[in-house]
Amino acid sequence: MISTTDAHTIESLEFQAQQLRMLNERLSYVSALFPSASTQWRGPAQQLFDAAVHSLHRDLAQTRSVIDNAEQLTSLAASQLSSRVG
Amino acid sequence: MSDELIISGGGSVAVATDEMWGNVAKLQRAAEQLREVAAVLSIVDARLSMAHMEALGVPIAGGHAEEELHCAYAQLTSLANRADDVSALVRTAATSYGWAERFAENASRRVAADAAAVLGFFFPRWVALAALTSPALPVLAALGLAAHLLNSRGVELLPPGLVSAALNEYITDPAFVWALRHAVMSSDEFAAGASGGPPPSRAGLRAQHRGGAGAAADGRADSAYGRCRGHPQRDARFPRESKRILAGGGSALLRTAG
Repeated sequence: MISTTDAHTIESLEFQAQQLRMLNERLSYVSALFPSASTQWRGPAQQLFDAAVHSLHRDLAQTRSVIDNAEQLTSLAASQLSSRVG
Repeated sequence: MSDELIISGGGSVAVATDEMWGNVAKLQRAAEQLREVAAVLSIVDARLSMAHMEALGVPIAGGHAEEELHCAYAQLTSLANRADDVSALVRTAATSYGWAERFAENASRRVAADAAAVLGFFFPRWVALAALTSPALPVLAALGLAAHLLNSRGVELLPPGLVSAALNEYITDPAFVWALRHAVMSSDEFAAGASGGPPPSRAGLRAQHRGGAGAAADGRADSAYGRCRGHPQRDARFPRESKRILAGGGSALLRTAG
């Protein structure tokens, strides 16, 4: 039997996991907004720009991975809490 | 701005500038989106604090998730700031690139106009000197005549592919296109110089090229000023004629008046 408090906490954790999934999808859209490496212009400025854009893409992917990990941990906590016998 | 650069830069510059401005807009939108995501993440994180979870006896995985959320928030904020920084840098680069382009365009136009005016001013003497002194001209004329005669009899001197390849190479060469464009744009200055106008009158022609009634009026004024300054003998003409008339006893003046 799950206590009322646990049920409320599980609901909060599941809501958090759902919100994190939505945020990750939104970050996927943001990733598409980042420009890709330039092919139309040349020179040192273009190389610096490409390096900066590459770094943004890499760090955003890492951030998405962190949020994905947080979502999985939240879901795990919710499932562990729901399996706890009160 | 892009259309202007297409005319002056042969295409590549305009594409680059368009792309740069597009990247500026994309990065700004990305920074805004990242800040919004960070704000939502902060609200989600605030619903379940670490102390609250400890009090509720949430498994340790919940605590780890909380740490990950803090990390993600810091990374999102940093990403938004960096996207803004890169956007500002690209905007600055695109703006200064446009300035540099216009400055180089104006400078090269000025140099080409000056050179065309001076060349035009000395053109008749230069051509006469070259025609009289160069032994290559009769040879070239003979070669041209021979080529015309052979071609009229169906003899191909050069393979057509070779000629078209050479033409393509010239037409696609940006330096050749640049030189040709300036030669065409400076034709007025050259014609003014060849017709005897002194080189300073080129300023008036340049002003007329810029367009507008005020610019044209300034150009005419500059041109007139250039003629007066370039030919001081015209200023001396009136005193000489006055002397001749006066030497005739002033009768010419009296007859004309009568």
